[in-house]
Amino acid sequence: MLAKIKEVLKEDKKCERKELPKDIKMRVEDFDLWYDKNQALKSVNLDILKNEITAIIGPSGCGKSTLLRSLNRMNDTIPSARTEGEIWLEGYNIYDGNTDCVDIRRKIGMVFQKPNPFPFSIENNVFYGCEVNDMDVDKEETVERCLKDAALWEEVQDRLDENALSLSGGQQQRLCIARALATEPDVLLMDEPASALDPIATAKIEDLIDDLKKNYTVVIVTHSMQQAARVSDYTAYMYLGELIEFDETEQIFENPEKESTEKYITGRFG
Amino acid sequence: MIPRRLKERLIKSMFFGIAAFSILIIFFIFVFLFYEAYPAIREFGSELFTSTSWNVRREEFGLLPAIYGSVFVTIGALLVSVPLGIGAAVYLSEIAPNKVRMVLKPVIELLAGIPSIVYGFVGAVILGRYLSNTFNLRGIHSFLAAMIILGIMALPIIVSMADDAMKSVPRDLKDASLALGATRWQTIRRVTIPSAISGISSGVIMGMGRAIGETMAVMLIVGGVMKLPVPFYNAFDTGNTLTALIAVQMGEAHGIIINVLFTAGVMLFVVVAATSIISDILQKRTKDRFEGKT
Ligand SMILES: Nc1ncnc2c1ncn2[C@@H]1O[C@H](COP(=O)(O)OP(=O)(O)OP(=O)(O)O)[C@@H](O)[C@H]1O
Ligand SMILES: [Mg+2]
Repeated sequence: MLAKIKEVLKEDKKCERKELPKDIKMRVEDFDLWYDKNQALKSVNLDILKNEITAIIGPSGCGKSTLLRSLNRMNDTIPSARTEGEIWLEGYNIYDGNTDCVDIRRKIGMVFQKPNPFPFSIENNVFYGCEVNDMDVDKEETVERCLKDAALWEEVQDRLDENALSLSGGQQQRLCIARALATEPDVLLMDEPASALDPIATAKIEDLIDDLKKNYTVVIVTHSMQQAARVSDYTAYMYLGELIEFDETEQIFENPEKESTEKYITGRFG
Repeated sequence: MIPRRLKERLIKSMFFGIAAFSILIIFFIFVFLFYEAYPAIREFGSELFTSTSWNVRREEFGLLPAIYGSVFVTIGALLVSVPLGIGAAVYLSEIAPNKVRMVLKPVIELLAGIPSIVYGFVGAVILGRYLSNTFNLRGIHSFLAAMIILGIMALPIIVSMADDAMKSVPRDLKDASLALGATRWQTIRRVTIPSAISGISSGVIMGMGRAIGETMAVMLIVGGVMKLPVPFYNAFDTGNTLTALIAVQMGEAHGIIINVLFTAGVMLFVVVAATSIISDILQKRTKDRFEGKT
């Protein structure tokens, strides 16, 4: 009897699985999202390729941030949000009832639009994710590696114990990137990471994103056409909650299939 | 029509005047208190603060039992109200669904509106009697009952200020923590509470001020006897506090005892002022930390 119960429990614990093609890191499948009665995502289908940079573009309010936040289940923190459909991370459905959000978010890091460092020291900011996840890693080493990866090490190596809020906006944003790298995620989601930064800091972050590609899969939301064209390999264009077009970035910018896409990227929108 | 520049200056000086006036009032209160207290200090010296014997007819005025009682009762009240208050605030601001919050918060704030004499009455008759029966005490009065009631009285201000402080921690920070794979509880403990610590601690200090200054309720519960509890940590014993002493004795006081009571008043004033200064320093320290000046 007991064995049977155990078996049932075990069965239940198993996440929904399916095989995805090797080069696909995440797959969004017929995904809908509502805020109360307002539908913000309408049957979105999208493949995110491994070790490539995918840009999401589209006019304000079209659901870019909502889609991005769906990818690591951050929309769970919004009580009015309700979803339908699936999002697969490698073989697993992250919207399966048994999926552990905490686990998902460790594998899928996120950088927010506004730099949001904790009011702690620089090193404690970087190490926070490792600490809450009980990761068995060396603090000094991790902090140094992540800050180097985020191109911030040179500027802060002598002041690791200083409060992170004493950094400039651009430095804070790079710190947030370093912080997201520390848990060794597979995927990095970035919501307009450079929107609050000057051109120099923006250039640094764009270089950085390009470097990250080697080890991570990156999804970036941006309002800047140029930025999307510069950094991304694939581009998704969204409009009013729908994914209108998705293709290689070159294709989208040089020869878009849909009229709406063309209007948007040539700035003749509205 | 007054020119705009002049108008600005007039408004500015008006507000300066109001601020200066309130500082002046506080200053005068202090001078007045001290002026009235001085004859007693001159007459009895340090004995006033170190002697435990109080006998009006024999003109023995040792305030130590009341001083100790005030401190004792306040510490006890904080032991009750700080964990409860912060716990309730965490629940209200971080865990409770909106509907529950909308009912609970006004209810807790309503606790602050109950007249203190009612607390005193409840404390003496219900709580006092219950404690007395449970622990076989001699009467219904005890430090313990006073501590519990004062703790409850300090709750609303602590809950309300701690809740406000935690609610005002930016969503961004909580999201950042969750996005790094922290659980909700880890986020509360490691991000929300540390970020709100200035607001929480000033709430605690305000609660402490309330406990020290509370008079009516304490007067009815603590016993009003001028002696130290035996042993000194015995919360089942009875005693007195500075506030209760003043309230009880002032009515029929004449002569030097009035000056003695004013000395007690000066002490209360100084302590309450000190708590508020400490709260300011604490707030400034955390503020510096937030702005990265450590
Ligand atoms: N927390 C929320 N509650 C209710 N509705 C929301 C919430 N967040 C977003 N929405 C709605 O969902 C739609 C998509 O919003 P979203 O933030 O995803 O747009 P966006 O494409 O990121 O826009 P922007 O470029 O301005 O950042 C909008 O209509 C918005 O009003
Ligand atoms: Mg957005």
